[in-house]
Amino acid sequence: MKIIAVTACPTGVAHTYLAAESLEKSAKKRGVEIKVETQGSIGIENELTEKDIESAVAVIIAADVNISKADRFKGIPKLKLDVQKAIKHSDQIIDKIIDKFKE
Amino acid sequence: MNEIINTNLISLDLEAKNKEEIIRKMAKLIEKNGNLDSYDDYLEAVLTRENKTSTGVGSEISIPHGKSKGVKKAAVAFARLDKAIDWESFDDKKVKLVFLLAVPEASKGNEHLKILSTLSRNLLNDNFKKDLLNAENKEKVNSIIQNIFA
Repeated sequence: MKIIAVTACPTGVAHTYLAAESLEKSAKKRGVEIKVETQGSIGIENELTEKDIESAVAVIIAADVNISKADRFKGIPKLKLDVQKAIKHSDQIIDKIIDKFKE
Repeated sequence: MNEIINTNLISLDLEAKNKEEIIRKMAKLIEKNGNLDSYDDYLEAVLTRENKTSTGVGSEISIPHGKSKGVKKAAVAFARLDKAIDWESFDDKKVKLVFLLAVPEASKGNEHLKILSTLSRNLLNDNFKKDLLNAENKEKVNSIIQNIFA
């Protein structure tokens, strides 16, 4: 199972990366593959490719601002939440997705 | 050594009654270090950001930050508080470790932003936190923080 995510926050220097780190840690703990794209003030890093998007069961959008290139995720299940929640509840978020999409 | 932090930007005995006072005192360290053009502009940016949502990230850590024209050169100030302070963190824990970030307005693509994102990512590392809580002096704190950029 592969999960993808995008994180973004208003200043783009702190929470974007904290959320990315939280989600990556939680996924790793559960042995699930994850790729997190950060949209911070550095710009887009670890950008999700078409292939990533095709192979993912769902995308987590953890953002307090409108994300760039949101149209890439048309047609795949989305979980939208604010960035603070992604830091706080990353374990539950990953669990929820695993639960829903396990074969 | 990375210039973004040094022992002048570190305080291990900061006394303050509340988070605003902490932010003001730490911003003074950044000003004294020569990173600001305008203390007031920078402070306003930090407080405005703080008032949107708390920058308490849980686990006794907060990361107030401001991006402002008042910042000449990016910096990180660090304070370890004797008395933990309420920061409205989501886990309701009081804060002991504060990282105050100063980011220049026009810094897209700036190498410093990379450094700040590296710092943010490390905040959730339990060993990093433990080392900072146990460090015996500013020099030690500085080297712990420098280490994550190495």
